[in-house]
Amino acid sequence: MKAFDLAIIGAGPAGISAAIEAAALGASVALIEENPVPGGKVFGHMNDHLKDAMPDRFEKRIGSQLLQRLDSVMDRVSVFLESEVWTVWDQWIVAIHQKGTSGDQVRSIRAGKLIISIGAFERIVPFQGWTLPGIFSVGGLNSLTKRGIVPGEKILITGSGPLQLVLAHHLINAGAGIIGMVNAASPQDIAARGLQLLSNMNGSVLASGVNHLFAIKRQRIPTYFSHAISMADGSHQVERVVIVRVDRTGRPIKGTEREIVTDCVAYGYGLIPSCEVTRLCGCNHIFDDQLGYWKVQLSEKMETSKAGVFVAGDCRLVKGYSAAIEEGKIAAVEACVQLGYTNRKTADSMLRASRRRLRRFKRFARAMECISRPGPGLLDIISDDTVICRCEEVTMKDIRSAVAEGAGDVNDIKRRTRLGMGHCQGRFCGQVINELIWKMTGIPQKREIFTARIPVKPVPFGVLAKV
Amino acid sequence: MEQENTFEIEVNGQKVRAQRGQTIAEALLAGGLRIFRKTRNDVPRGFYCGMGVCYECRMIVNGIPNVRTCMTPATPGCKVSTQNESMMKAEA
Repeated sequence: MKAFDLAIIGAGPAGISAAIEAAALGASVALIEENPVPGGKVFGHMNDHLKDAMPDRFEKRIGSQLLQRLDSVMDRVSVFLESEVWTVWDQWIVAIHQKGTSGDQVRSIRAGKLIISIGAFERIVPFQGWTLPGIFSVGGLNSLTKRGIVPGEKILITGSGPLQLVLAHHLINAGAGIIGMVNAASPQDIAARGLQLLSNMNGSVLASGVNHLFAIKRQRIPTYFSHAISMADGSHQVERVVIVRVDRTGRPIKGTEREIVTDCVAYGYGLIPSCEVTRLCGCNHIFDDQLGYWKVQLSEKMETSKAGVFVAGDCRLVKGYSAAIEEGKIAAVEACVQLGYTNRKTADSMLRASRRRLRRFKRFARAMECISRPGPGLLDIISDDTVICRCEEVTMKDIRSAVAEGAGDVNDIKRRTRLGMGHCQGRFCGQVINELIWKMTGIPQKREIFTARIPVKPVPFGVLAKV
Repeated sequence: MEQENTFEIEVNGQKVRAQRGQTIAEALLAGGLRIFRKTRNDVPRGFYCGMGVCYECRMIVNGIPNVRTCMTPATPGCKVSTQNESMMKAEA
């Protein structure tokens, strides 16, 4: 088994930044990425000739700088591409499922320290018809648009969060037709957080934001504040949707429904951290009541409750690429202190500026996340026929029956209905299942999360048999 | 040697143009295809999260099932077909 000082899981902005810093201090580094290229969702597409489709200058500049710096330390970094971590064994053996032209293989590496930087994914509130082809996550449609692909002519952007603006701007640049923007927040909610946002912005975020807003303003796109998508319909793909006015708590207001004809819908309520690998490692997690998601507990040194396991980037708190780059650096330098490649004094002086910038990014991110978080009343849009678990096609009705039969917690629901047992391993349905049980029983119980199981990502049996 | 920037892939027996650097999913969506798989209840599904989390874009690629097309580069001549899981259940 190959051994490294440091294994970094996820080669997005945080992971790449960590690899650069650790390699520069002399550590041997394994950088593991499931995609064919490093860069993550924000910079991963910059490696090829399609990169000119990217309109955001700031993003482009920071991304190319980061990828160039990674190139300059490649002699000290072993990059494993198309490689998924399916489990982590204690102290620390990382099990990798690597795809390749000569077939899949599994291998394991040993690492002195771990940095987990696996990013974030879409926050959802299921609605009837959300599984129809043509309904994309906001991030999913954004990644296509950045690559010059616009899969529709009448595009409706729904949900909440800053990524909506980024997507709208990218679509406008691609010459796409946006027929409307639907936002669950009210203008008052957004204004209330505006000051908090402005006082914590850095130059490039502010410039990007203003740039996006002006581009959207010029297009005179119909905008529906305090509205949410509640239903989608179509025979083989989305053909029309219903949007409804919602009150301050997110509750739909009867009689305010309106139908919109569309062939492409982006849908999502911001992003939430991906915490399945830290859960698998046995790190402590807490539920952040203000932001409405689970997150791993970290020390100031970005270390989890498990000694030697560090976390960086959006898989702790969703903050975007600039903050992820700072966190990657902090986690790597702290890991290198423990490994003996640098000392406390040097580390502190290396990290002073990063720590200061990060504090501001975090305040900004919290305010942004509070705007994105849908109110609890929005769960009222879920009808009996709404699919809650896409993978196993478990509906609200199935959950209702299970609760009536006595299912009392999320793992019990999982055993009875197969909710959360499919390919995505409960990443989407797991976000709402607590609230749905509480709603049905009328009793808010302990907040729970599915037990993280091996493998965290599906691995074919035939591949495992070769271990 | 200069590589060709566009090439053909085969999707359910039909030729679809792909660009070098594109994933299979990107080539399919650019070519107007929306349905990537059918669930065991025969319900159509397509590209959703675009980042390897949801597995909705899984298809049969060169004979291998459950390949996430959003993360798999298109290669000249690769053969892609809709993954019909209601049929897969019947065969099993």
